[in-house]
Amino acid sequence: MKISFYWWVSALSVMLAVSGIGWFQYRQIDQVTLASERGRDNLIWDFYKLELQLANLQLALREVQAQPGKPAPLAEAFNQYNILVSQVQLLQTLNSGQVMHEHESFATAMAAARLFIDATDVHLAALPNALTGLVVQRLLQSSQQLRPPVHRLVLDAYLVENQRANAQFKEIRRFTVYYGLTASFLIVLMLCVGWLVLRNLSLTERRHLEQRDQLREKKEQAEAVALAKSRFLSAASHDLRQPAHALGLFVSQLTPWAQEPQARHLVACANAAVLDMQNMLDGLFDLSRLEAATTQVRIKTVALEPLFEQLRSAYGEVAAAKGLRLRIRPSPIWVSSDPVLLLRILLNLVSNALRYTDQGCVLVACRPSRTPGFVRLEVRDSGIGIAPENHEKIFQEFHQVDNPQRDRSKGLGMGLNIVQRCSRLLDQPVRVQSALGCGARFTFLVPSASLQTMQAPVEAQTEPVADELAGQCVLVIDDDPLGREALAGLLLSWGCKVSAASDAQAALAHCQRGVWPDLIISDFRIAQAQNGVEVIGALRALAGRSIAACVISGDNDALVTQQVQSAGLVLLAKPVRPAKLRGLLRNLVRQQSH
Amino acid sequence: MKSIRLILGQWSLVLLVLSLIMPESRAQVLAKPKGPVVLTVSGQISQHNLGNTAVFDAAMLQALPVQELITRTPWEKNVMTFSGPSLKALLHAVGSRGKTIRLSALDNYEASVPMDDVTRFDPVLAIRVDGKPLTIRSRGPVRVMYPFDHFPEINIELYSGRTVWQLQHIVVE
Repeated sequence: MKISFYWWVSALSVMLAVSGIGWFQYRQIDQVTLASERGRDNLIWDFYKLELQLANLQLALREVQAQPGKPAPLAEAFNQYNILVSQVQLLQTLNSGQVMHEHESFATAMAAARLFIDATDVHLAALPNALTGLVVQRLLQSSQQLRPPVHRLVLDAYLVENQRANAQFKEIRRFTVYYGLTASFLIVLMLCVGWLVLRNLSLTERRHLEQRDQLREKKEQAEAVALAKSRFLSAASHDLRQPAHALGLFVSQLTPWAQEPQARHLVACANAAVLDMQNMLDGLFDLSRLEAATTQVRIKTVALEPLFEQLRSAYGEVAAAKGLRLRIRPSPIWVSSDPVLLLRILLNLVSNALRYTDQGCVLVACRPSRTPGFVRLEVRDSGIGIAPENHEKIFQEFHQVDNPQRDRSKGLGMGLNIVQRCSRLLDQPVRVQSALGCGARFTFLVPSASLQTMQAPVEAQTEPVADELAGQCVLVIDDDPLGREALAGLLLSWGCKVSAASDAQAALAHCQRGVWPDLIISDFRIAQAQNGVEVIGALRALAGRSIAACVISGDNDALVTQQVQSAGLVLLAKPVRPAKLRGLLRNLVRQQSH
Repeated sequence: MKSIRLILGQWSLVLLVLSLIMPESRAQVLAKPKGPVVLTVSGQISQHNLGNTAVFDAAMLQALPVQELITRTPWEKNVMTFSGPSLKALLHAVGSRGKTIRLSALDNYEASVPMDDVTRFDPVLAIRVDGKPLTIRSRGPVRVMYPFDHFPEINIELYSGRTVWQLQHIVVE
């Protein structure tokens, strides 16, 4: 706004200056032209012609005197006389004559001319047949008397003309001086304005830069705060992971030992509690992982139905326990999205819906969308609803509706925040439609997969598997004794032969004794400098073959993920669910035997 | 009635044709002046009546197609009526073939006029002003007059210089 104002001012001043100079130039040319025009319309000419004509008449009269009685000189004298008369008459009407009217010489000369004409008209008013020598003599004399006043008039006219020309040139000179001064003033003004504008521009720019620096500083501060928070979250989750991991493994081992109904009930409860805790931890990890911005979006062609199936199996029992109906409409649709993020969104939305619904049902459906190329995923509940003023807030971290006591059983309040982060990664906002007491509807758009990119759904492996794990030699490397013991116990309960090592050296020593494992499970971060990936590499090199192996890690670092994946190994995040681990190990063994 | 109208129509046609031919025929025969000569034309002309020149007396000028020009002039204050043959008619009468004409006056004033002026402004060789015949005293007997009121752009020094009075001689160049 300020800049444009100064631009206008400068443009206006430049225009003013240019037009001013132009106007002066025009006026100057005008003046000079006028002066030269007037110079041509010269006073002197008319008066000089009068004197010349008088001389012509005298010449003609002398000719008459020289050739008395001849008609041609007489006619010539008659003509010259009449021309003279016409000129005298003309001088009295002309503009140039009027300029001289107030001069005394003009009056004198005109009076003398009238006297001469009065005297001469007696003889030359009409062409005479002849003129006597005496008359010619008298005419010559009177014409001679007319000469001095006419001559004085001519000189006077010359003087007047000279003065007029001088005045004219003086005026031009004065005008030129004015013009020069004004033009230089305008130019100086223009330069001043230009300088001011430039200075102002640079000032504005400097201020702009300062503002930008301040903004950047503030942003950096905010980012630092956010980073500190996510670091804390990451550290906390990492620390919590180890005991949770061990606890889960221990409890799952406990199950076959509990024979009595009461003990079995207790174990089941403990198991459920552990599962709950692990789910919450998962949420925390998800959050810290999303915060660390290490998540990469991998768009694939995904069938919705398997995702829905996972939702059913994850929450069917929870819903039934709460007396709610969880309806997930079967859908044949394929979409183009990141299945992990998509599932995470759906899981969190459904979990959220179930948490805030006391009666009625939760509906998950895929519907056609008004936006071409997209389908709309919808999670609807008949719960307590959300007041419109809270529609923004619910997506904030740790915000919970109607939970001022922060009752842990209601979760941590991260679900919708995770949903929002995931949906941002997928570039599609989650929309909420709700009012208090009217339930809630969360919708978001997903690009539908085109037919060409569709793949045949992978046949779920349904073949019953013999328990390949029984009798397998497994080497567990973990520097955490609790975790190591828990994992070893679990593997033993699956019928594996387990050997455990606390660090790389112990593992190498174990192998050098000639006991080669069929499987290696290593923690990523172990004591000493080497990490799990390197230890596995070293063992494989020592064995001279590729031993099946996987890495367990509590770090949600992108670097770790990348390192493990680039080594061609499978990464399991702590806390590891026994069922998942078992499935993975089976797969590895199967691959090995093929 | 019809036949009379037809005859009248035929006659008017004949007159029209005659009027188209007449100037030609007049140009072919240039009479000798009977009164005192007021205007001499010389140079690139095909019609002569005195040696290499064409001379005119007042009656011969009056006999040419006469034209009236009502205008102000740079010299007089009143609107005046100038009548006389147009310069075009005179040049036609003498069979002029030139590009410019030089006008000279009794007092030896001279001005050069391009032929373009003649076609564009059609100046008049006035021999009467407001009905009165011009004399040398009233800047006659022949005075060139441009239509100053009809062409505002010619009210400049250049054209007032070409407006020669007391015209005596025309040289076609």
